[in-house]
Amino acid sequence: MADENDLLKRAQAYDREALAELYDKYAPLIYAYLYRRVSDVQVAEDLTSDVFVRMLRAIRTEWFWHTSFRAWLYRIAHNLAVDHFRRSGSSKEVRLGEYLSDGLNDPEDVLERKLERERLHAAIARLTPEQQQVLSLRFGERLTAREVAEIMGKSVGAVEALQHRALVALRRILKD
Amino acid sequence: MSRSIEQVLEQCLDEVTRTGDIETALRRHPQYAEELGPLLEAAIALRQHYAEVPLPPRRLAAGRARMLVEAVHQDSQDVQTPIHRQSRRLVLAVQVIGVLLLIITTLAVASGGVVSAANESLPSDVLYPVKLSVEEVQLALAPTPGSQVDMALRFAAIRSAEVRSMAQSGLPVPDTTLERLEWYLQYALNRASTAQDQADTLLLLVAKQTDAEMWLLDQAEETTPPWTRFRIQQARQIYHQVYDAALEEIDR
Repeated sequence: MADENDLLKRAQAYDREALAELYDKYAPLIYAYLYRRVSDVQVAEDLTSDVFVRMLRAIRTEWFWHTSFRAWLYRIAHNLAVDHFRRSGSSKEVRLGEYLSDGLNDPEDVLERKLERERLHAAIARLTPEQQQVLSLRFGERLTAREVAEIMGKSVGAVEALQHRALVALRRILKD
Repeated sequence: MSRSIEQVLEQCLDEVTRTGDIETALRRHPQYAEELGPLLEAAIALRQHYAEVPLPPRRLAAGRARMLVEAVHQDSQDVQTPIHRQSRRLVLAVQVIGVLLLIITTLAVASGGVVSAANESLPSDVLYPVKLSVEEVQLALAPTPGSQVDMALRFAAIRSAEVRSMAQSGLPVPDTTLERLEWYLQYALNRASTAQDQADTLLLLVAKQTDAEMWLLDQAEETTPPWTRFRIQQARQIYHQVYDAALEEIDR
């Protein structure tokens, strides 16, 4: 696999192979992130496509991806998710599990897991968008606090504090 | 040095996500164990929850094809670049001269009243385009890299003040305001990094100004209604990225 800096240089020249390689590497990550934010496979896939078209239009003019291409993609994805919520008038959409396979045969286990998932999902939806974002990046994307800070444009300390508040709030909601 | 609970939580999260062992992590911080235990359990549950991502219906293939088609389209547009760019420069020069004449005429007729009033206008106001035109002319006439950087940063700060003012009032902030903010900052960064022997001084100026603006935006965020707060956050993010880029350029 080619070195990423080389790939990015070639992508700036609209080299199709380099672009395809970057897409194959990052599109699944961005899709997963967007799915965790919007809870809809169709919307998440459409927004993923928008992220890469926007990346393509900006890669020659913007400077920001020089610091971290991955962080830049997440920022574009975040902005598109925010725009989506603004257009649809809600950030609280909870549509659960219709495409998920539990891999369990016992109907009671399946039901129990589904209910647990719904409870957690509903609790997450009651957090602020910023709290949802930090939890999604930390525990969904499994990024470090430093990486999350870079994506959210905050200091590491601010991310740690936000993460703490988000977990406390989530715990409180789950207990109610 | 005493560590805050946020820092201890972060340390425990790192450990627990590696080992999956909550008990051992908590034994290192007995004074926080009662509070951190439930938070670590919630974090583990979140990881399991977030791990369940269904496959995309079209396996992302349509997006890949769309991006590659767009690349061909962009590429074919840029093939015309040399002539295209020159003609665009010509058009821009004519536009600048036109706007300049318009402003001079306006100044002569209205003794500066309109331009002065436009300076106070917001994106939703009738006189706002006059304000932008005056800025464009001023920037086009700035003679040195130093004055260009200084002016672009000043205009970016005006955009930032507009974002703060509108967002704090709960008014929608147009995308174009943030785009202009971003454009001015990129322009400042670009001019600073290519200013040869002045580059470090100008990049430092960019870093200082962006840092000061981030502080103002942080302050504004606290008094901004939730439905417009994301605009303040977006503006802050733009500043933060330019701040990082300026520091990185200085390090090189």
